[in-house]
Amino acid sequence: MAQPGEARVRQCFRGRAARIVLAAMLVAAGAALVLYGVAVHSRTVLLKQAKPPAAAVAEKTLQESEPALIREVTVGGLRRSLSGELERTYGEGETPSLCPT
Amino acid sequence: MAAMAEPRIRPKPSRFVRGRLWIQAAFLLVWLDPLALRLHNICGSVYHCYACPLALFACPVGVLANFSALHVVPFIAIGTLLVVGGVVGGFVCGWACPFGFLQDLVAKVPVPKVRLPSWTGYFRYAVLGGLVIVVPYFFGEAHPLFICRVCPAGAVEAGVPNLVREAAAGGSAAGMSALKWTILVLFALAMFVKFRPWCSLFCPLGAIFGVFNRFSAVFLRVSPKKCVQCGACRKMCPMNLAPEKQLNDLLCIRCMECTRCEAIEVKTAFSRSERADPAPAE
Repeated sequence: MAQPGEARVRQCFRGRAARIVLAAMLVAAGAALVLYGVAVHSRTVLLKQAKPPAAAVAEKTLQESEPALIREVTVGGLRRSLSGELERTYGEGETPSLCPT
Repeated sequence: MAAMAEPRIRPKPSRFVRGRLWIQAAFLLVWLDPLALRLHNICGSVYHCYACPLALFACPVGVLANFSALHVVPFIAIGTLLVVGGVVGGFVCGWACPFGFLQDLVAKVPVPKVRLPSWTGYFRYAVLGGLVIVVPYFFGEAHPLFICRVCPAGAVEAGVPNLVREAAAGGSAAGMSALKWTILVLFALAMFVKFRPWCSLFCPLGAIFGVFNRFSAVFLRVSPKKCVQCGACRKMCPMNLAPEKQLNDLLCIRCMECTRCEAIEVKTAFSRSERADPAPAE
């Protein structure tokens, strides 16, 4: 039969081990998501044309990484179009006019 | 009749806890971007509006809401919150958040404070789900209930400073919406009569970090041997919790005021003690 001291040590190990494992899993998962966001995740963004494009000219797009997308949203520089695509709210040479607040 | 055990209350908080306002001020200096780095492509972990003329990082709540409006998964914001939450949990709210610091400073004004039941803090999850995720996802960032449009932190840290700057430059100073002005005035009044009204009732970021309180590597622990159930910690807790029962609760901002009682200690997952927290989810 286990002594009370032994049971306490076992419970201590379980509690500590569970917390260490959970915290480590959270940190590892978070770090993996950050790495994925920084290194891999990107979206296509439609650039606003200063002048309406000629019919033959394709719309200009840009592949923006997630950090770039974050920077854009902090200045209100992105919106979702009716067709579901991401588009810039400002044209080339312009500054974003929208403020999220 | 057996003599009742005396509660072990320190006459004043530890030097570390007494220095909390200074630590918050030091963090504020960092968030105010004194080197003008404007690292707005990095997601921060505190409630500090990125529209503020002085903001180092992007606000995680703003990023979550805007990405929800764009129908894009914010991997970096979620990852950042997981890393910070997994290590320190709600300590961010009590020690690093500039908006919490502002509320702590105003709370120093000696006005009788209202104490609401702790269950009112669960309203923060309605704000998180509703104004940060659902409204942006279905109605876009232009909806009047989009979190940034009703956020008092945005009004205090960005709206008013930008208004002053525009007015000083002779601009139109069209400024904030009537709704946001109303929220700002109500919030300013509430700060005097309620400890951390935003954090305890509405803050979506506090709601997220509150969940991590139960799993984070740094946590609070009550020693059953030392606790005499005197209830002194309840009177110390500014968030109106019962620390001896609700330690590492969702609503705890880890201000550590309750550690004046010798039965409550800060521990890490690696601390050697007679017994660690009974279970990760209390």
